[in-house]
Amino acid sequence: MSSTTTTARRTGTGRLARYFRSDVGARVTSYVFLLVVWQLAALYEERFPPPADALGFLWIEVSGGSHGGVVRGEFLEHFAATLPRFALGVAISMVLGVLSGVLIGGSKIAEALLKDTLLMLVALPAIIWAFLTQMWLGLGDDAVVITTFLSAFPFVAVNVVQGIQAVPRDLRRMSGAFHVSGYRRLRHMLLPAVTGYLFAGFRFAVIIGWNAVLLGEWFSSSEGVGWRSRYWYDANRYKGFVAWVILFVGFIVLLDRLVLVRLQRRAFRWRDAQLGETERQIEEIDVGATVS
Amino acid sequence: MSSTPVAGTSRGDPRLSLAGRRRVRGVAGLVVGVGGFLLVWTLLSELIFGEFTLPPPLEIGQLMWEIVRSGEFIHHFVPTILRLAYGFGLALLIGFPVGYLMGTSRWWRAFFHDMVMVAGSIPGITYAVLALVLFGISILGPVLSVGLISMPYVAINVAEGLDSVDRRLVQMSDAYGRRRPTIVRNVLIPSVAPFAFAGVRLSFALAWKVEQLTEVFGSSSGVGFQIRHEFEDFSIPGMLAWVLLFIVFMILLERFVLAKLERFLFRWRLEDRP
Amino acid sequence: MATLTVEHLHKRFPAIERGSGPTTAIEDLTFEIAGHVFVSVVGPSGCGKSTLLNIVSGIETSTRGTVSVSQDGRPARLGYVFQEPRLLPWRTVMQNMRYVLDGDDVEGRAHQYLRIVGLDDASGKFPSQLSGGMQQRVGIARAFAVEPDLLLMDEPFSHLDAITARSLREQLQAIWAEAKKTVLFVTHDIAEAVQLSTRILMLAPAGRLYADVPIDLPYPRKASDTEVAMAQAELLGRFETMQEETDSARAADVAS
Repeated sequence: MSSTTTTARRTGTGRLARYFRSDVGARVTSYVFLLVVWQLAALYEERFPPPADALGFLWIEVSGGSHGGVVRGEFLEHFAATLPRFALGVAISMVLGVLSGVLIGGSKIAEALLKDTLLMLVALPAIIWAFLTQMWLGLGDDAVVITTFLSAFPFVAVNVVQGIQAVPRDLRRMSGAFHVSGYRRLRHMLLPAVTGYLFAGFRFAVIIGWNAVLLGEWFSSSEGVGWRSRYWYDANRYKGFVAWVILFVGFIVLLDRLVLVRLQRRAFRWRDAQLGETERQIEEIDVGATVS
Repeated sequence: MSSTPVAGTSRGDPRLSLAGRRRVRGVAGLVVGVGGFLLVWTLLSELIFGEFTLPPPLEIGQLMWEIVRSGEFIHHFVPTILRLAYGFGLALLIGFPVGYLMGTSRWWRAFFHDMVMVAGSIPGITYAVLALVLFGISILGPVLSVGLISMPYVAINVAEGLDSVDRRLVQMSDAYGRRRPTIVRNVLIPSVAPFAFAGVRLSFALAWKVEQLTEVFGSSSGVGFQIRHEFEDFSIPGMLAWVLLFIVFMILLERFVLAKLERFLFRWRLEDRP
Repeated sequence: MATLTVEHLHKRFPAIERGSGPTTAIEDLTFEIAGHVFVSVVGPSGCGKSTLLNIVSGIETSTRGTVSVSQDGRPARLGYVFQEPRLLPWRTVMQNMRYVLDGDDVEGRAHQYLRIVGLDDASGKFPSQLSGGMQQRVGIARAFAVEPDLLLMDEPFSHLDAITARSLREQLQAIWAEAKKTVLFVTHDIAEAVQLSTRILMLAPAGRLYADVPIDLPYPRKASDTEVAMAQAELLGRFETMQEETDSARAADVAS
């Protein structure tokens, strides 16, 4: 930023203009802009609630107030229902993903046979899993958790495969030449290299898992964030739906930016330029480093 | 074995050229991969889950064939593809200027940063239902969903691509007195186009999934609509048949049509020359 | 044909890294060229010759001093041939020609000048399909097609192999003789300058005009002509003297 002249410092508008021109000012402006667009959209479509309405509703919901007398606001119980399903789904997808990733990445035969299957699973839209589990299991926790990990584990596996294959072949041959035992090879060579990719997979699992949990709950449960969103939607109370959108989008964005990205930067300390394009792109879409 | 070079073939030489051998290897790999897929599927269906839960490949295959033969597939595939195409068009239309601004101005980069970042991680269901609320049953829902979800990839790539614009070409244009709009059209956009295209390719899979979800919720035609229809009919085979047809076609589309398109658009590049 | 007047030209670049000061590319340069002439600017690298060309063409601005290019009072049209062809890789040869041309009969002029350099049948090709020499010929055709009053050339043959360069030099001589343009030609190769020019401006570091030598030999000139060879030897000698003087001046600077 250029230094201010004494004239600009004297006038109030000078300072305001400077604030506006800064990076923070730009960000604030973007939020103001989005709010304006939202308000306009609400004016255009009467079913779509304006920001004030949605936020007001959100407040009632969170604080347990009353929505027009009969229904009470509910917040904690739904998050309390969703989070365990989410965590379990992510955990299972990590286990499944690592196992299948290690199998496919480590064995040429397995790779030849199963890589296309894996890609097919990656390509499957989560809605299919939501539908299938509903048809298989009806309502309930199981369906939701299964939808979650089925949607997420292929991404973990793909990342693990890439991680394993990124270990330079020479390193493997070398440790083979010196007859390093299988366990030591695993521990000292593969694991550190794979950690970065493991983490990228974990991030995918979290983001996709969250989407899937919501989708699963939309169809297959009687409580939870996804269910509550649908509850308001079915009742044509779109204020409620939008309020919950704010909640669940806010949750994942905060989780991603505050927790995951920081962890990822640490996990990737060992990373070198061999990192695949996809991860680089995905990372760029969210890593704050571009603007800091 | 004689020591004649393998690259290229002379007439009458029965051995394959290097490129030919690569192609054969590719096809073989595909056969093995598909075989493995069918094998896993059959095992899961027969031995673990049972024919109702997971219908065997043959049953699904027959259904898929019926759907294609009866013309139903084309009937629904076309609207889906059109929506995807429009959506990507929108992503390029918005992504280019956004990426340009982000790449050339620090202020705009800060302005768009959060929006671009969040657009990529909004749960698909949000797009699907909001589109339904805002637009009802309409083409706008899928198109906008695809556009908004792919736009960040295009924008980020365009912003990166701006770095690669050859300054010397801009200098040449200046020396010959070319005006700014002409330079943008003839130098900037073509320089950045490959990056924008890469953005589309990267977001392709993500985009089709969101598109399907939006279609399931709010369309009256298209593959997603059919999937919902089968779901409401409680038909697992029907659903699986449609989704497999869709995925196979999308993969073929990506691998062949997109790749060919990319090669045509960028045929001036030296690396693409045989 | 045009008149190029350079008066007390001064160009200084700000410091690019910590610790180094700003660089003065050109200290104080004054000269004038006009009419159907071929003027070469020669000097060692770092003497500011490329900077001079960039300023004349408007790519860069001077810090002080004036540069004016005029043709009977109106601003002159410029053509510029760079060291690299600088063709738009995503456009065909013909499209590249059209990119710089305005006015009427753009197609006709483009074809005409492509024919002169012998590349008219390549007009539908992309630059990547042509060799380096062919691309440079397109660059030259492009510069001439503009029908400029002043033609600027920045070491256009330095990236080419000797055979192609020799052939292009002959072509350039022929085109210039017929098209009657004012040419300002930058090179580090004295022999090339002597073969092509009517006048040579020898620059020492920081754009100091060391010598201004007319070359009165008849055209067409071949590198194998005796007179040309003698003139080349003489100028090379003067060039080397200039280098020695510069080096000792620099050594004296360091010592003091």
